[in-house]
Amino acid sequence: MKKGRIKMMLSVFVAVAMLLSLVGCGGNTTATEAPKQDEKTVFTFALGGDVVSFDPAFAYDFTSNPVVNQVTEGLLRYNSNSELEPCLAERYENPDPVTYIYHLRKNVTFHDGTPMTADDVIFSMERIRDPQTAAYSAFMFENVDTIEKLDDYTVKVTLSKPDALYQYTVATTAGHVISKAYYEANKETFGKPDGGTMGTGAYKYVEWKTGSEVILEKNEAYWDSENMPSFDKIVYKVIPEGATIVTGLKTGQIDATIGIPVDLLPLVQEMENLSVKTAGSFSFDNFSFNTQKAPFDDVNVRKAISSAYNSQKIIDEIVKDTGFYSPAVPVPPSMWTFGRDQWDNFIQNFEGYGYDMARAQEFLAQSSVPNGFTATLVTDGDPIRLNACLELKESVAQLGINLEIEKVSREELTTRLMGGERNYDMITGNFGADFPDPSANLVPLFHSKFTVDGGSNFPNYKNPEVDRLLDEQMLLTDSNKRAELMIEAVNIIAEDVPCIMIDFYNNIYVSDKNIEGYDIAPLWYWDGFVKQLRAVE
Amino acid sequence: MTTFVIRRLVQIILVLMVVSVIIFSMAHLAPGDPALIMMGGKQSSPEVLENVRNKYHLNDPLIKQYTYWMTGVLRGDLGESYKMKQSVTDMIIGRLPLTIQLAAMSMFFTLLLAVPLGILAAVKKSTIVDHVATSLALVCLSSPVFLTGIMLILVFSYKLQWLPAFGIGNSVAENFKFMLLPSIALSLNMIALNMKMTRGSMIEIMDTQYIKTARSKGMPQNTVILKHGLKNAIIPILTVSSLQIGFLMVGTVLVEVTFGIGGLGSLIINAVKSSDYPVVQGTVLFMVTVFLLINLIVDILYAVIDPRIKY
Amino acid sequence: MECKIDLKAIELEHKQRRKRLFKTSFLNNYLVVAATIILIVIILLAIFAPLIAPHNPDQLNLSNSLKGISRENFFGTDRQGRDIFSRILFGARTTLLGAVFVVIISNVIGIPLGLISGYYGGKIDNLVMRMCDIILAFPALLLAFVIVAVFGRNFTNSVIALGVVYVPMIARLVRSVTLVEKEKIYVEAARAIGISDQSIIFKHILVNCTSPILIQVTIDMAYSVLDLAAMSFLGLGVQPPQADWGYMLSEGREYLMLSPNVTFAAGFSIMITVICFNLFSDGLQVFLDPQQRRV
Repeated sequence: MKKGRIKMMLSVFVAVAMLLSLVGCGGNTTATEAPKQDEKTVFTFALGGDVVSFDPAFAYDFTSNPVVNQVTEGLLRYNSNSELEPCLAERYENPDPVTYIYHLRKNVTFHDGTPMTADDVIFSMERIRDPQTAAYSAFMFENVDTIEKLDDYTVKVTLSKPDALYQYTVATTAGHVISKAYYEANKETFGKPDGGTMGTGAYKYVEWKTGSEVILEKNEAYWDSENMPSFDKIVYKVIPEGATIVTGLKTGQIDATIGIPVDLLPLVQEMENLSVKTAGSFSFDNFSFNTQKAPFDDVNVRKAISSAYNSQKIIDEIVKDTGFYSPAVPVPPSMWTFGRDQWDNFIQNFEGYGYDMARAQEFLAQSSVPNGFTATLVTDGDPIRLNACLELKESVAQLGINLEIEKVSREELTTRLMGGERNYDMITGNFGADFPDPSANLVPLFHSKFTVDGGSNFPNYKNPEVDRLLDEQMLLTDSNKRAELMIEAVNIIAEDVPCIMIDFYNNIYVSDKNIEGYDIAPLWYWDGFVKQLRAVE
Repeated sequence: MTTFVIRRLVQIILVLMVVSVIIFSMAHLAPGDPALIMMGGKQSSPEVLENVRNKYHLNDPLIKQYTYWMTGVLRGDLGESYKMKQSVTDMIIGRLPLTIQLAAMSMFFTLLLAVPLGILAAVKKSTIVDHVATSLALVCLSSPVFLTGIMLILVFSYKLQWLPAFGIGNSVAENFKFMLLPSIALSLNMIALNMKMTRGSMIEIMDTQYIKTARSKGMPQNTVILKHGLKNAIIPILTVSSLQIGFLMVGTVLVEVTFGIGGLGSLIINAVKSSDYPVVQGTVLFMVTVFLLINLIVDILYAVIDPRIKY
Repeated sequence: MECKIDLKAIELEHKQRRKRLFKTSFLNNYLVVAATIILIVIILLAIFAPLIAPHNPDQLNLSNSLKGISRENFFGTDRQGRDIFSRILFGARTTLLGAVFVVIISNVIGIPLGLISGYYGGKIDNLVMRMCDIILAFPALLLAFVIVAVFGRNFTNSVIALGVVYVPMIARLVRSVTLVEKEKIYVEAARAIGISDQSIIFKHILVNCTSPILIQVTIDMAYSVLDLAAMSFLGLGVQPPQADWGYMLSEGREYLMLSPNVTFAAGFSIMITVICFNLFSDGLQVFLDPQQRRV
């Protein structure tokens, strides 16, 4: 009997040992599989979420774009100063405010070897513009009247009225050129894993395992000989967990990523094998009041809450290096691409309704609800926005205002932000312009025509004077005059307090120290940056 | 037997019909404008939204929409994802292998650990070994699978750095390494019941006359246990394992979310969170169908393994 | 005369037997005793949380983020600088209250359904059992996910959803007991002297279902604590800043690499509570249902 017991225990011990050795084996393989630096041909990039589609019509987010931009390209692109430069069009003319003529390069071929011509360009643009496509970026073509072919390599775009922002459209995914022939042969599967896409970019589509991985391969026949890619292959890994991305960066399984969760950035900054690059952005987080709904239709209530919010505290304790303090206007300095002095002067003298509890109490006393009230604040789980909500909730509780936080998913938050019903009291949101122009933030956020379904006027803000100023600047080409009108509008908006700013973002690019060639830019999401990267020792 | 199978199949089809109505009406009761969800919170004009509504028959009466959906389903087309613009059928097929591998590995580890432990506890009934094994099983049963998962990650990935913390590899073989921790986390949760059952039936069988006879004849202990005892305990063990299929399916959802595995489970949770109703409808209907079919297969298997069971 | 004496003797013996059983099932099993005591402590802590908690569980203190264990904060602080110990105490309220409501909902619906379908049989029985089949066609929590997805992600909805998911279990249990009970002589006798179906079902049969129901209730408590935690973990549960163990666990996971305190505190709270409910239910089973005592 005793012998049996010992035997049993022994066998358990053996079983455990076997299991452990099995586990151990797993560890060993990881070590041997680690790529060697000197023969580095594969670039591995971590995505926080899956690609939505390879179809430029639906590639319009921070996880689809860094993939799609390598495969398809627009007529123009942005340089590191956010200025337009030639891409598939070798030059363009703008003879009058409503006419744009693009002269295409003649040596450009798609990945299947067929040449790119005006037909492909027109087809691609018309397809995005067509309401039937329901493209995410269709709104960019709002003021386009006709797109015509002048010859095989010349395209003329005519606008229905001057539009200061149109010029930027062809440098975004909305202007990406796909092969007409390929699309027509693969209508059903285009943009999806089976069909992929057909572009002119430095990398070709190879494979997309949804939910886990995308593989692209070097385009040996890339037209831009000055920018021939160095890496043979790009592997994108879909990793929703921030901590995993950090572990991957540490062990070298991942070469680079853009955007690191706020709480993990300090860890990454400490790792010696990584370099962290930062650039400003056009994006921000804010709280919006539903200005058409009581009691937030009372400007004193809005001023009171704005004065009760300690913005600097959230910047110091939560946001840290991932962003910076923002005054009451959603126009970050990186956006002052013109009229820089005017903006600078304006911000220097700007006061607004910053943190001041005594003032907050005064404003509330003057309002329609001097004794406070209860309202709901909608947010998603983003750590900056959620913590800002918790902070605001506590702060306004001192004024007798009870803010109930309603935490919803990211997707529900966006549908509520973009829904014409505007079914919220207060809501957090984030927004970032697609173009290097302050009006690309101001118009969608504050023009009353964007309060409808699909519009991004989160505060449901309707002010005819602001509408007029914003409309007027859009028709002008004189940039100083435009800046002047915008600043005038911003002044009115700041006095109306339709929203409270939380922070401006920094774009953060983390990569292996031995990979160089890209300094992140505010408009990185339109960049096909992998072709610039080089492995160094 | 044949009549039994046919009767059960008819029953399954009836249940599935009711289930499909429930899932469909729930998805359409849900708040939020599908057209807006499809536009993914991007700027759009009311005209574009109206177009989207027409394209996806969202302005039609519900019954008509249900008919569209069902005709599609019967042809194997579960609709198109609002968010990913892909066919839901393709999305399920693409993610299925991962989930199957995870479930199979979990089931394997469960049996690998539970059966020996159960036998051990039975043979050493009421000794310290038995108590330790039973208590261990209780602790495992009571630890939420995501907690077990997180602790395994902390120990084996962060501290020891033996295994990857999250994600998956490029092939079934490579996935094995990635799925070791997830499947162990899941199987630890299922061990308790299996072990209890193994222990119970082993004790019962070891008490029977023929085992006693075998022993008295001087047959070695191990031979008695493995050859005669275990053989007869197999059916109750299988019963418990099959009862856990529902648990296993939900367990994979939790484990996939914890370990960032892009299988069916994370598909359904992401769809639930992003109000991507075609995906919710499709995956739920798919999972219910699989669940019912597996139960049927298990019932048939019984009859095959044990000739005493007749339907 | 004789008859009376007999009854008394039987009653006496019955009492002694109960005592003996109570001894073997609870007192002699240290684990069960320990579990019962811990459960009582947890419940008391939850009830008196506002008196015991050293800090306001929702009080932000961003500059005191992720502090370790100290005399000030027994379990340290979370990302927002809130006291983890206080949040665990208040979280116990949310979690336990939620679990209690899940059990109440499933019993209030499940018991009458089981009784009626078992007692009357026929079409009603068929209807009720098919309804159960539909619910059981969904693998465990899946139905709860869908319900919450549709009716909104909050704690109330996840409690209701789980309550509904648990109904078939309790209904089937009660039905099976009712099927046995209704064939017994006392039911026939009651019917013969003209007692209404209603009072037979709810006064007599129900009384005889108490033991299995009680056992099921304690098991369900363990499961609903786990399932509610799973729902909260997946982001389908409570709203911030409310403290809840499952939600704390998922919050903590986001900064696990910086400090595992929140995750561990919440995780072990869940684990200990569930272990205690399981042990308690084992003890209860031995006590109430000695015949069906498992080996």
